[in-house]
Amino acid sequence: MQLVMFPLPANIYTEIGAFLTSVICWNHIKSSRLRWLVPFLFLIVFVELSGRYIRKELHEPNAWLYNISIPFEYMFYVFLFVPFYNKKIGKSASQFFLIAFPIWVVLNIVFVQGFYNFNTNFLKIGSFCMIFFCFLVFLELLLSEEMINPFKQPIFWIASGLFIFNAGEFSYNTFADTMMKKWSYGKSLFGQINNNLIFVLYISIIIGITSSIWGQKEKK
Amino acid sequence: MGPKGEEIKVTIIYLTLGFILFALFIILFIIIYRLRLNHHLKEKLAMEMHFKQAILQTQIEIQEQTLKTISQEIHDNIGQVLSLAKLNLNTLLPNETEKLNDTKQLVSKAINDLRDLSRSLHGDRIAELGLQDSIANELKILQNTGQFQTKLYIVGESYKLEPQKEMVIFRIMQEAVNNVVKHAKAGHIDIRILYREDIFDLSIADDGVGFNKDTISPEKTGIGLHSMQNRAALIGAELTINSIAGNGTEINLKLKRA
Repeated sequence: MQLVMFPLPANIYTEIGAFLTSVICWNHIKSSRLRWLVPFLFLIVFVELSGRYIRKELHEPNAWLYNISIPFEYMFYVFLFVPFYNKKIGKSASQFFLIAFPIWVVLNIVFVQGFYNFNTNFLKIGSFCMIFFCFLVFLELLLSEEMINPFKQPIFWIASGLFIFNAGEFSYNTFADTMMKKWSYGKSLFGQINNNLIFVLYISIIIGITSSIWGQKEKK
Repeated sequence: MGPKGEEIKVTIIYLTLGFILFALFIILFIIIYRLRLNHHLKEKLAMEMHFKQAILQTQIEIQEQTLKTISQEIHDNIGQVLSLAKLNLNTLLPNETEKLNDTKQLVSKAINDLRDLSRSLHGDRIAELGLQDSIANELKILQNTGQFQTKLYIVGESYKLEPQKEMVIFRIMQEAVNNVVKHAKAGHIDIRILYREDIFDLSIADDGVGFNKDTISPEKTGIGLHSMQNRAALIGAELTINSIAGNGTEINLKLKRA
């Protein structure tokens, strides 16, 4: 039996590539918070493949899967940034986000948009928050009195990828509701924009993981 | 897709591109700013290092000058006075021969000790003798006190370092030995000089009481250790102090050859 979900689009291959890179570089990331990238990226690949399987093979809606995974992604990236924040604003904002965001997501699912509809509200808030938290990472980099080579900072690469990803998605997310309801071409455009930005994001993560090796070599 | 749909599509594409370009611009700005800041910090650090080195250099030069003056004083004044006293003793009537001989011996010993001290303090003398012989002399003086067993091991084919570096290394060795004499309650002092092609390696080890370098107070040997570290930094050497309470101390200096 031939599965119609194959061949996979390029963005899923970059996600698989990022997961494999994190496994290969395990020795270099195991002592930092980056070690959580291994289970996280595994989960991302699993969600992407499952989502595709549900839609292409079972012909069932898969929005519920992304309603769970996307908020989790936002929270994971903030969790990854927390140790990098030295300024009070970064620490407080990230702690607040990690507590308040999941509560708000649950409330939104239960009372506003439902579990089986694609939740666009947390996309809007999430994208905006990601841009804000990436900006805080950049601010830490700018204001640090230590010698920091951004190219050798995994967090810089991850934040850059995330910044571009969310900046790119921001305009779409703002119009998402209108497009989904009134315009069938909207989904396809969303898919194109999203896939290209996913490609950029996971390439940045791959570079970020690899940069941890350069950074460690330089320290030695 | 109607004309309105087409309009929204174009707007979204332009907005998306605009946001992405803006994000790229911010990232580029951060990279450029950070690299410039790094360059600036590097320059600042180099200036601070240079300033610190200059201060250290001046401190050591002043110290050397002081030691030279003291050495000169010992040689020219106290030494002369004692020599005169010895001459006078020789001319005294031999009524109390035994007492007189004892006194002569004491004065002779004082003259010899002062001569050794004068040599050991005088920088020019160290430059004249060379580092290896100066260290050997220092150990000989210690051995002569009868309180310490000393050994000097030379490994490899010896070579000379720059006179200023030899002087600094000798002062570090003196400080280390001085610490052993004052605090270590040691019986043996071993010095090993390892002449490697690329690194000059000096170790001073004793079998004394040792110490915990993290908890030692500056009033004890803390200042001495700090001074050794400073001197080593001045010539770009790496100084490591290994000591365990009850198991002696080993001080190691490694200097890369230019």
